[in-house]
Amino acid sequence: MNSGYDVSLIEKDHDRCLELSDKMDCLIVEGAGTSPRALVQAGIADATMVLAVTSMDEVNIMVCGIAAQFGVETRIARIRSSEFTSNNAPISLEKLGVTKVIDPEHIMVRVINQIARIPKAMEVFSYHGGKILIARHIMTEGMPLLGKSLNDILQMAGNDQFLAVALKHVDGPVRIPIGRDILEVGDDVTTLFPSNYLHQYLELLGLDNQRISKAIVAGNGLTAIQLCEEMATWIESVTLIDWDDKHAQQAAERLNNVEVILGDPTERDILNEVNASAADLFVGAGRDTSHNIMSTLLAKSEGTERTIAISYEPKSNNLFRKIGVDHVLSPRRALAQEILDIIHRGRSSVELQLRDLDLESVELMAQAGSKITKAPLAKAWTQFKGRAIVGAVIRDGKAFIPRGDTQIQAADELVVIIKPKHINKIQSLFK
Amino acid sequence: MHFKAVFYSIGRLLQLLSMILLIPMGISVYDAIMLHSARPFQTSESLAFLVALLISALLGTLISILFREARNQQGVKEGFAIVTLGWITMTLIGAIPFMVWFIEQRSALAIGDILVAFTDAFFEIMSGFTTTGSTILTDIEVVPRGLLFWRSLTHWLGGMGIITLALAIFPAMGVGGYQMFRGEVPGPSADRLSPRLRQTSIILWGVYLMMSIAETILLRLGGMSLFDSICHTFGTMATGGFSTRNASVGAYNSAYIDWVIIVFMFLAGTNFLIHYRVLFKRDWFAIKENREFHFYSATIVIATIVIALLLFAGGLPDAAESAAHFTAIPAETGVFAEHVAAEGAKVSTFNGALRYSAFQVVAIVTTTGFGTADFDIWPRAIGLILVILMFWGGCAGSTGGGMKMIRVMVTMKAGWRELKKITRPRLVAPLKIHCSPLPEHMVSNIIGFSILFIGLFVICSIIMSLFVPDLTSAVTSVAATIGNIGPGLSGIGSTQNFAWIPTPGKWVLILCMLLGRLEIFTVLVLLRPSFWKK
Repeated sequence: MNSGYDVSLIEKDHDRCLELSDKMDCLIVEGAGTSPRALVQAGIADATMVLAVTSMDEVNIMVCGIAAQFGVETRIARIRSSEFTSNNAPISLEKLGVTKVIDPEHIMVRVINQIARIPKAMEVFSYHGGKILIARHIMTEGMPLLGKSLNDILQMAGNDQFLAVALKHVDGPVRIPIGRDILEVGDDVTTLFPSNYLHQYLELLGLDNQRISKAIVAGNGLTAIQLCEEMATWIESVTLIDWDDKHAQQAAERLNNVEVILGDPTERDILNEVNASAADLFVGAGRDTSHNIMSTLLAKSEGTERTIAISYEPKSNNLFRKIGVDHVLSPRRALAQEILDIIHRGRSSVELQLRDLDLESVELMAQAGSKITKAPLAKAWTQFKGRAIVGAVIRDGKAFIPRGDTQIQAADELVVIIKPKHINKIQSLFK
Repeated sequence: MHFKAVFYSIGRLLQLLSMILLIPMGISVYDAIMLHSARPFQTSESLAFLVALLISALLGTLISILFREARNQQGVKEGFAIVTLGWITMTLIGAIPFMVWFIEQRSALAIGDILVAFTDAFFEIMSGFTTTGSTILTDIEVVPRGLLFWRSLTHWLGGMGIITLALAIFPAMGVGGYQMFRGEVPGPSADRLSPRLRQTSIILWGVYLMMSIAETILLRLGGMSLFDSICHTFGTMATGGFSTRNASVGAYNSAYIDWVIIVFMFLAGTNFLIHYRVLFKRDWFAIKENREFHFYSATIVIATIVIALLLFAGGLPDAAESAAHFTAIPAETGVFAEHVAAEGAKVSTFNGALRYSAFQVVAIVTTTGFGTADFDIWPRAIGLILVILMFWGGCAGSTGGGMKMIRVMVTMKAGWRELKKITRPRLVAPLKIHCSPLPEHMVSNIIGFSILFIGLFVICSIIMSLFVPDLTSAVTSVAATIGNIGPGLSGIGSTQNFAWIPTPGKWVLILCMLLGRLEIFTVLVLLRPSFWKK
């Protein structure tokens, strides 16, 4: 709604309907998502987009199918079963009317894996389906970068595909760095790079030998299983702790090269049995927030290097971080992000906040005839120098880091790191 | 228990048998006319075939008409009863021609001698149907061609299963036939290839027939006579092992023939589901994903190389040493020394060692039991390896015997899993074969089977040692029959036969063959009293 859409919402439950209509400025229709009456009442005939995000795959596909008959352009379905979404699925979702699939579990799995792949990172963001990464690190003793200027570092790397987009010296303000800045111990540096340069990035930080070799996942849901499945492809030893008897059995049947332990991860005995003290990563991926927080904190106290917890209460995320969980992720927020990403792609902006730094990263598309396309970047950007920085350009699906003489073309997408108060101003460059 | 339904099906089986008996009878009649210039049924064996044919045709027709109304009443129990009793009935009728021939040869007219002749004939035909290949014939080459053909044909029928053949031919037997199918098909699970059982049976027999024709042609091209080619094909494709020569396949002394038979033994020991998917569906994935097939191939390759190296590097033990453990049948020193020298020459080159090792390993693992060399005088360690491989057997869904590779794999994995669980008591670890989990009831079924198989082997070995003084002979005779292989070591080694074993011992081995071929459960289930109660 905040992006300026008119939204109609179909909800089966009467009480929820009443509750929602009080809270939100949108049309709420009571009924089943597959009911043609409800869909028509919600205005499907004029809709440009349908989002089917019930918990049932079949219902979501059906809704997209109906929407296709009404000529709705974008039809997004939430689909959890990999039977539909895998590359060798025997049926085509497109023919059933789905134009785009979203899968909250899958998103969480991707995000957690991204964090896990970058040791010691405080935060990790990705853009454009993971093609561009933004990683935030604190400089510590022994890193090869210390005492070097950003320009030197680029020379060390031998290419210009790394861009420091934010820098904060100890006790200093956050700012957009320049080439002459020299890195010191304790500096908080946020860097943007195309994801295929990840290994080189880790080399620069001297972290390339710190790959995770033992991960523990505690959880009783599909997310935990999918997470283990993905992690087992690149982590030597993956252990799943599951406290539900039947579910643990199912998980063990599905997972290969993953050790499945039946037990409660909030019990020390179990954490000892899986040797949590030697683990590089512990993920609390259950369906209950407090349980996840509890188990991650326990693992941390046992000696696990890094911890990630899934939280279904985004409002408390900052609290959880304060009491010691390294990364707190919210599926609903990630899902919303993904949906916005689809809706906005090439139109407006996706915003991500860098925690505790007064900066946001925004994805913008250069429209034909806009100011930014008229001169090389260095010239077109003068008025924002020091206030915002273009992190990456995505052209024809490929991401690269622009230089001063890069000429922006129409339909290029730009990842811009910016102080929030300048966001409105900068949009004028792109229109 | 619906006895009528059991009788009806056995009646149909007998009708089928009578039709099949036409073939060996035809050969006997042809030989009577051409070789002995006699009238069609003047020779005793052609007459014996006629008698057997008439008995099975009349009896079969009679009971299948009598119990016609019971034909759709079979359930689980009836299925098992039909399979076990059906196999015994087939063997009884099928033994008639051999019995007549033995009585004639030995001019055995006393009642005791007739009983011995009956035992021998029953042993030989049971060995045929169960694709064991153990023989009581001391001189195979004097046996009339009709009888030799019949002996080999029983292999071929028993290999893919005579009940499976009946299901393919008689549509009416398909009703409730799955129990029978399951009771006869080797392996822990009997897969349907198509929704209809009859179609599945036709596919299996079709693939079997095609491969048999291919092997016959290849053997014929290698210089074997047509008759010998067909008989050896029956022995190979069914993983049986009856030959038409005293020296088995070794008589031809041809590397080409050896390799053709090695390849077809290997194929016969493979799951026929794979053959079907590769030949008809061009589905090469079937080979890639089947872990049992990989295990089977790896076992054969590793055992072949190890044994070839042992043979090539170490050579054979000298004659005096070998003669020392021949307690059962002492050979004349001079003849024996010559035999050892000849066998030693075969494996003196690496190619030779590889060829004879490959043949013997494949013959044992697939439970065929053909021979090209006397592995009894090979180093004892090799003998032991081969005896252990006898237990493993071919793949599930093949014509091979033994415990089956899949059961060996699952039993090993289950053992390994328990070992892991000692340090991780809360580990949840379903047993997996190629990433797909095996249900626990299947795992316990397989472990139960393995225990019964080994248990029966132990019990029967003890019983056999009462009748047979030489322990090696006693133990390996049971291993060779319960695994449907054929030859064992020492007194029943590859150049020996089972003729000298006392009659009660032969009956123990006959039981072992049937238990092995029908995979224990099908037979043992009939021995529980509750099975026969209403």
